Amino acid sequence: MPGRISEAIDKGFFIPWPMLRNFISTIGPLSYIIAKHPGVLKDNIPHYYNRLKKSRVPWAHLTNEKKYDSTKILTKDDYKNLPVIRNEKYLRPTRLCECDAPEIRAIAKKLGAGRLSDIEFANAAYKWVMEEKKFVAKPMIGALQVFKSKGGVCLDQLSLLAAIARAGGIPARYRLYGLTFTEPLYNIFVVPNPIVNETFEMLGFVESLHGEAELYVDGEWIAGDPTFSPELSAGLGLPITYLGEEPGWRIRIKGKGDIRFEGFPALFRHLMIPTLMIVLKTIDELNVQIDEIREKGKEILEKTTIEEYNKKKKKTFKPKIPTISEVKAFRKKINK
Amino acid sequence: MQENEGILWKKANEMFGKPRQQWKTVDEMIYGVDNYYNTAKDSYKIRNKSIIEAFDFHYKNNLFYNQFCKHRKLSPSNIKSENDFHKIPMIPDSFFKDYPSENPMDVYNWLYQVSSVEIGKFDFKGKKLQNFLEWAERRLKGIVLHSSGTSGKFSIMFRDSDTMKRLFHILIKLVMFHITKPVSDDIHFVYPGTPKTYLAMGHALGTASQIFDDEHKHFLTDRSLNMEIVRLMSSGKAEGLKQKLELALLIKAMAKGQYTLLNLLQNLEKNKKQIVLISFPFQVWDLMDIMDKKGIKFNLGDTNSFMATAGGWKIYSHKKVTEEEFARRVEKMFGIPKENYRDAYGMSEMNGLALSCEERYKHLTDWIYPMVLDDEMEPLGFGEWGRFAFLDPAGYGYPGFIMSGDKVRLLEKCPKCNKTGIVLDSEIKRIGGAEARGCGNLMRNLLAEKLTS
Repeated sequence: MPGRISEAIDKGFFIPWPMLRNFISTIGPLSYIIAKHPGVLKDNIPHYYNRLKKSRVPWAHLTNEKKYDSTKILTKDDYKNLPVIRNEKYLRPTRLCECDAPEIRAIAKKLGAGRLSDIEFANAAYKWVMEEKKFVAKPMIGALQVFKSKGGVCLDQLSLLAAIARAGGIPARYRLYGLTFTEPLYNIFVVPNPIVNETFEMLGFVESLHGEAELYVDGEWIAGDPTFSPELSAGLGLPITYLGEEPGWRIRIKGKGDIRFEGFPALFRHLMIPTLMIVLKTIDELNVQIDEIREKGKEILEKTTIEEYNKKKKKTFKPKIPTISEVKAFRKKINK
Repeated sequence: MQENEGILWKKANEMFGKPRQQWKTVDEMIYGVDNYYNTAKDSYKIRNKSIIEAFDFHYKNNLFYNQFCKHRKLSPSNIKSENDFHKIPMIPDSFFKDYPSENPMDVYNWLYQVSSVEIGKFDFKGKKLQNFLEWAERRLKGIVLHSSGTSGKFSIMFRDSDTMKRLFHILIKLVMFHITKPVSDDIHFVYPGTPKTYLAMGHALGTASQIFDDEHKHFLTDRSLNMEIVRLMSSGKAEGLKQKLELALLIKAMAKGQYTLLNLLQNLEKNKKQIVLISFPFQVWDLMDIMDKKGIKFNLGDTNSFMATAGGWKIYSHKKVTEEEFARRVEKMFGIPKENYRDAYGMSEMNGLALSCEERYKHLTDWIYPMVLDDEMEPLGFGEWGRFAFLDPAGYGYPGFIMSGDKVRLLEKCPKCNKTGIVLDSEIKRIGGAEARGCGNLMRNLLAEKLTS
């Protein structure tokens, strides 16, 4: 029995206190700003109506994404001898991370689970999610639905990466952290909507809304954030980053809002829905804008390779700092 | 410059000057020139010589820079003239955040490893970085300053005492003697900040204000603006009771400070005193909103008072105010004519400034060699937008060859005025991947509620 309770807690039966505290502390400033901008809320009405007219819930994502369904790439053979899912912490299915789904296990197998070394498989899983699934602002749908659609929000993409990793036998967990946006993203995510803008200004940074998946490979946790596909990064003029690298679209706020967990807590995705409703018009516009940026990025990458593109983008100086004794020896030499 | 030969001018030279025999080539441009914007046509020759001299110095005295140059197969023999300057290896500004931790010992060791000069011995016993900075000012051979740290990590840099003196001298000379004339020896220096900080420009301004006696300088508070508070201001979010209390006190002090400032300005105006007011654009804008509501207007132009701002133009979160619009409102509310109001652009790592002219083009001081780089870090020509980079021969503590995260456009000369110096377009943006928010937004976060209307 105690084992079951601890498993339920690990899998997110209760919302962790730091996360709940972050949500609660956002309510005050958000309500105040909403009250200041009733007009912004009113702008959403046609967008709610549009969904209701199609007999969908007002926050539904309307775009048909069937053509992006990745089950299409799976053959019958891919479903044979699927990797076994172990009921162990960080390896078992959790809320929104359906690593036991046959489709997820099949893609894990296809990407090299059990065939490649752990690190090779982890890199392949990361690369596949980053390249095949797109950032789409919509309600959270979980790993399996992301697999079957164009993509999802950042947290959903983390779920897909974690699910594939777990299905392939690599322990995976989530880590949320505080962040502030770098310029292009700040202009896209924050500036257009006065409610988002002013809430961000009041809070100073974003907490509990973004994170990374951590994969346990060869004795260490390696972080990965596959949210931005290569085309999106290129369209924004940012380097394309891989497993273990820090994406350039945001800056991590050191020591702020770090929360690690195995599974998304109950009600997490439901708590996001009111936020989505408040900014629905902006979300619809954002998806169009992001598609345009991806197109621009695609054009950039058609003219070069990712390696060449990254070489240019990462052409910044990362100096090797000499040791104290090397510096002392150097100074001794020049002072002679 | 006859007009400048007052007590303050002399004090600036005495306190932050250097005997001529100790000058390096760059000092001829810093100490040897009264007006930074009316320089000889061939001043670029001295600038170029200064850059070659500084490059040679850092190459020979700084192991990490020496190794970096060698990695690029470069040595002083490759840098002979201005045509070679684009080859000089540049450090990204993010480099100054690369120290391993905020443990004072780690920071000291890192500064030791990346500095071009002997920084002094470490015998600091404390655990807090803020206390280390205070200790460093007393015990090291220079000063350790930090940036606003908007991403939660501060840029930290060591300036040797000669470089620091240059910065103080440049700052006070630009702010006090390059905006208007005449400057009375009875002028009042008003800075609604605190001198007790190690935030780079705040500290430099606080120290440079030592040319005034206590009666003639006015700060918003003498409370210390330590790193913890700067971090709080930057994020606007407090954790724990102590931080919450500090933040509440700070917000209260900020709001109260605006009214204290109004009272001070009213008193100085009543006594017909010339004033130099130095502030952030958002803070002055907020003050003007208060004045509007209270029906207060000044006629500070009558005493030839002037104003300088710095720290960025993000006044409203979703509305832009141009420098031109700002200057018009300053004229309307303070009675300070637009030619007596200027905005400055600078970086914590740079020993120089760009001060706007009456037509709002930002004139760089002559010793800074500016560049605009494309995505591949190759130099672009004048008139093109790109990443701002500069070669600063006034810095000897660390190599002042730096790439910023700012997106700018450079013009070879000002299209509107006769002042010398390469100019920056008044609109300065941020490059993709650079931190979106900068120094001037620190305090702005605290007044965000008031400013977002």
